[in-house]
Amino acid sequence: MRLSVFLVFLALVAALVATDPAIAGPALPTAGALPWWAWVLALFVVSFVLGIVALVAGVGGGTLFVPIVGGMFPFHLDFVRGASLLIALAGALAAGPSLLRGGMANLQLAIPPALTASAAAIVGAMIGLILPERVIELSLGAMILGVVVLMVVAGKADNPEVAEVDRLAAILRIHGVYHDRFSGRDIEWKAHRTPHGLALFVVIGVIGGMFGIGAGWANVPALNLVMGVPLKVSIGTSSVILSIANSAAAWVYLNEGAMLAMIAVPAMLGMMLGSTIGVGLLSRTNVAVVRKVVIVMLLLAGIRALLKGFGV
Amino acid sequence: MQEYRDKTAKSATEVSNEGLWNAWRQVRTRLRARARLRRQQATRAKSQQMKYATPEQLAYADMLDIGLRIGRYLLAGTFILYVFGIAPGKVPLSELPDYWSMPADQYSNLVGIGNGWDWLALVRYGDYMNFLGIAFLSGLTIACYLRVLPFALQRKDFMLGAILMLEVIVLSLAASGLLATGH
Repeated sequence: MRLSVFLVFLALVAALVATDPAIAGPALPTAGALPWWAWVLALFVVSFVLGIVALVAGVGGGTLFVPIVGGMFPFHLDFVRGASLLIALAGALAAGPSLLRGGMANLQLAIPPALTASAAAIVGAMIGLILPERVIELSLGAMILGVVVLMVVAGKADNPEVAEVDRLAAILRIHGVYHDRFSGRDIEWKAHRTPHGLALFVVIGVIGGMFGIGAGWANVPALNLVMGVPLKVSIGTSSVILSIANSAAAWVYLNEGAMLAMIAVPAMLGMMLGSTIGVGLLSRTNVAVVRKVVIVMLLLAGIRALLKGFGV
Repeated sequence: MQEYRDKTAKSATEVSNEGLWNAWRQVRTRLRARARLRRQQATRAKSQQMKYATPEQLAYADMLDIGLRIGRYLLAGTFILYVFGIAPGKVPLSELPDYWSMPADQYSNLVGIGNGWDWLALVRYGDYMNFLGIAFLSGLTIACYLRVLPFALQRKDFMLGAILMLEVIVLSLAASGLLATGH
């Protein structure tokens, strides 16, 4: 319980600093006030905290990273988005092997949505790099508020009923079996509404590429609620889809020069270290409380991005 | 007396050698037993994995695993060289705060680098040397897809094969730098 309180405190401090214009507004972006290493160290610490909080709350690190680091630090949003894509990419790649070997992610299920999502992510990344910063801030704010709504209202189904497999799912052989350790049973699953799911991944890909965030928050409901895939397989497969779609978008950011090693690498290291510690804390933390705090953090960060977009 | 001493010394060496030999045999037996156990566990894990994952899924996972290890070392190694000044950056570290708040295109213009793979020409600088690890990790998926492709073709799953080929084309196009925004 004390650990939850500590995490809540850390998260609220981060949210406050990110969203209070009095603290994060005109004072922080004066980059010359602090030496370079102080910013890099602060970035590492914030990424570390976000890594813990994001993992415990079950949100992708990138979703928290872009609005919070974009609001707190003097870095241009281009570099923040580039770094965020790498964070999401590194996390998704790292989780891939064990998820695939254990059957918690399914390659046959991941490949078709990954194609639509990655093609769309390239388009999204190109749009994101062309649009003016204020437009990006505004749409980022709106999108983050959308994520908050989705986190509050979206339901979930552990093992959805799929009465009839659609034709495309049958052709693509999208079905499988996974071992549920909780119940100790092998659970067979199949998918339906595949064309709807693939169309949704186009939208998800554009959003992910445009804002440089891993779109796990959207992947999971699309696979679980729309395509009828069990929740655990949806979460695992979402990670594989993310690794593929983010690779495509990361290339665009890299080729357009929207990456700075001094921002991307410490952020990646901090987030990876935070996630590792987060895994250990997962069983000892009140996940519901942390999730609520993350919702509040996102709400504040979304409002802050909107205000920045409006020039307030 | 001298002869007696030589005899004693010889037998002491022999005893010592025998003791060493016995100890080595014990260690060797234990190492062999451990290796056998590890092989049995790996076989059991593999057969368990085959129950829930297809061979191509396992091949994809293995490729990803190896690539990820290489990518991590590459990223960490190049960053250490950069941050400790062994490979100085194109932009000196102390001047970075003057650059990182500007848009990417403005930064590229000031640094004097074009779009696409132009960064490769600056790879001797620490900041661009880090791009090697980033590019490696970003390109890993292409290698994984190429690893899976023969499985799809072997079992005549041409639909999957076509999707895999398309994805390789999409990712290669993104990697090529041809899709410049003129940003």
